Amino acid sequence: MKLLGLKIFIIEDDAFYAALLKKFLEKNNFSDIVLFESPIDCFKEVGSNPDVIFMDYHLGDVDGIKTARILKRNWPKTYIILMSTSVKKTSVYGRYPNLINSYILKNPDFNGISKKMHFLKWMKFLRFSLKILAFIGMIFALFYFLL
Amino acid sequence: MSDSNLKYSLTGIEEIAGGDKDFVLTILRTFQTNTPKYLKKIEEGIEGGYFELVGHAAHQLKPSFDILAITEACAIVREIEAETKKSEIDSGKIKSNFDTLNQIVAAVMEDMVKLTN
Repeated sequence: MKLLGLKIFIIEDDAFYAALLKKFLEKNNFSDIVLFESPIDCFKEVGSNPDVIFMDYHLGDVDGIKTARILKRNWPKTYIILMSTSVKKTSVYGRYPNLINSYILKNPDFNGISKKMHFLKWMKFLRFSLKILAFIGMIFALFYFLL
Repeated sequence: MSDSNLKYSLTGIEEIAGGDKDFVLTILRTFQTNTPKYLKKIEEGIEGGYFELVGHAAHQLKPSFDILAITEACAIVREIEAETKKSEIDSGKIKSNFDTLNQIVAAVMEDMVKLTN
């Protein structure tokens, strides 16, 4: 059901890791994935509405925090996951809680990503269900006052 | 596709691939294409004294070495990257580490060609 699936952006200039992450997500039933080699390409997709963005901390000359700022400005509700090979770099996640929602270490263990993504999918389903319930509630309330 | 005599491990990639052998080959070919580019950057950086470039290229190599379990190469790129961040950089140490790294990568590539060709 595409409506409840997550739209995922991956900004990663390392083709090796980007391909692995995409394959892993596809294997876990996430199919709406777009890869970007640079943040600039991603910024152009301002009309899209990604639910999750995986963002490499080291993107050539582009500063990770500046990138996260622009991403959050474009998509304030999007969940941003920072990717880094260094535990030290992941500490920026704690320093910028309004910009970066979570982090992953770029290592062979992908299981943590799976748990995170299924949680986000569940949250999206929950939000959607609440909207439907609120809508039904409004219809009932309308009928109640009309009758 | 796994072979215990290989100088790298396909376990991590095969787990993600879930039986998709074409994907494994694509990933290995990506490694074969990208790794020499990063090594070239390190070489150029050492020659020109651009240690920031050296550090960045070494950093880029970490995930693939890690995922392919090329342990020794992984440790060396970490050492190279750490050295480039010091206030007094030992270019001799970086050069010597780079030479060892080249030898390891050459051996891995030789092994890998048997699978990808």
